[in-house]
Amino acid sequence: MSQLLTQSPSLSLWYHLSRESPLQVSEDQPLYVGDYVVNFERRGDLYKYSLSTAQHGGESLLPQSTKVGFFDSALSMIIVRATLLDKPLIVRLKEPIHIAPRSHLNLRVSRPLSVQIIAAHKTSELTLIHRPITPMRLTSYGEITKPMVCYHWTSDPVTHPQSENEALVPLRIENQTKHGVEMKKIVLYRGLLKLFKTHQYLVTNEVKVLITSKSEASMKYMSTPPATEEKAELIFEPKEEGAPRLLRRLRLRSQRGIGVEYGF
Amino acid sequence: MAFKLYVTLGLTFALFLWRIFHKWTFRKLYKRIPHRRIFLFDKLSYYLVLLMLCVISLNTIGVSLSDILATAGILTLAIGFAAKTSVSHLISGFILLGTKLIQRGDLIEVGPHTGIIEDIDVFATHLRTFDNVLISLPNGKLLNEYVSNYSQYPIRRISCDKIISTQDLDESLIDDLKRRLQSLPSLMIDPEPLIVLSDSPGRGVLMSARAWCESSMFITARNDLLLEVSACLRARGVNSDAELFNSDRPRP
Repeated sequence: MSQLLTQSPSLSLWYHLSRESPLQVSEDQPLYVGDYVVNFERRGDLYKYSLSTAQHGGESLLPQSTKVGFFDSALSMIIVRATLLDKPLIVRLKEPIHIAPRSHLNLRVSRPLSVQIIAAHKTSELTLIHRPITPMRLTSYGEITKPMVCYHWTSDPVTHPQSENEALVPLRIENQTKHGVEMKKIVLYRGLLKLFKTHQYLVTNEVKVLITSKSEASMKYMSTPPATEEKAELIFEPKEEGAPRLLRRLRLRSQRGIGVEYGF
Repeated sequence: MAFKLYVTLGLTFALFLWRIFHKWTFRKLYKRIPHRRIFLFDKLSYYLVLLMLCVISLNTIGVSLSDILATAGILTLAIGFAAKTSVSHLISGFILLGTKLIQRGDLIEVGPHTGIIEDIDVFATHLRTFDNVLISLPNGKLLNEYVSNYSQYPIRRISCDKIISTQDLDESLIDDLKRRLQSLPSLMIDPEPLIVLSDSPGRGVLMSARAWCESSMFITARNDLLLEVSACLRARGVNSDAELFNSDRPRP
């Protein structure tokens, strides 16, 4: 049975994901997800929806073209999904971590997510909004002529996500060198991470960082979270888009994130 | 006579079919493969088949291939003299397509024209200006001119220059401005914003605020930078009107 959208502002992504039944579009009650609020208005056979930021007042962060839209009123159910960001993410650690020579450590950092709001009816779905749950700043990584434009995020090693709008990234860092290494930031490639839901929080697959020299590391994205995460249910897996199989294979081979010198 | 007519009609039909097939195939390919990878192949394949059909049609109506080849040299010479400019544009077109200096969708500046490349043909490049005017630039001209391509790299540096008096200049101004710029959402965190000072004799100090942004957000970022620098100077009571700092004019 459908439920009306709640009036409570700034509801977390986790709250929406934990609901057992989908929401019903309502003109009277806006939909709050993280920093965003979506209003609905009935216009004959159509619903008009408009998006604004609930807390930050950062109207300029939202491109004008995606603020307002229309959809068929038959699509009266609202589904909220959590996905990963559309760009790579640089997680800068608040305090650098020292990794002793020939040792390893397991830690977790938090990372922000994207929210996908979908209007649906039976098998028909229409994505209304797909954007980071909180307005994100950009940063660049790599050479100045071939930079990788990434979202920027700051985190400490944590055991639980800092907020309900975030997920955990389990890291296993192995220092294979004879020297101690300081880790200041980590670059997470978007196409190789998956998102899982446990009974407490959202978590990604495990990332293994192998430090091979003072400035070089290789990264390996495991297919699942660590075994310590119980009952992790896969809720988002990135798809390779567009290119034919041969080109896709070539692209994967040269994909940044697998190679050395990555992650620091 | 009737045979020649049939051949002509047949080849025209073949050309028509080829055009449909070519358009259909490349429309599918453009959806799957980045435009820049197959653009040259698209153009080359089209003109190659067109040339082949011409040769076949001539051969069928009685003109032998050896005659065609024999006259090709003379024709090339004649055409070369008659259409020197066109041939120059044609070759330039293939050079442009091959070197990938510019691509469809790039924002470029050529002489007085600034706009987005709509198409690169073998003879001309079509530019759509911001006031929605389509300009055809001959490829030869494009190759000989200075071309600024604003879409080549995904990130760009923007700057805002202000002249301030030496009395107003102190470390706290630089720190304050830098802190403000670091919090602007349209500017990148890394490379971080930079304030560069240089002497402007007789006028004061030239203060240049420089920051990086995503190329697609250039206009927004530039506006934000200019507004923030002006707001910072205004908040600190710093007048940045260059005219006021001429040596022969009193400071207000």
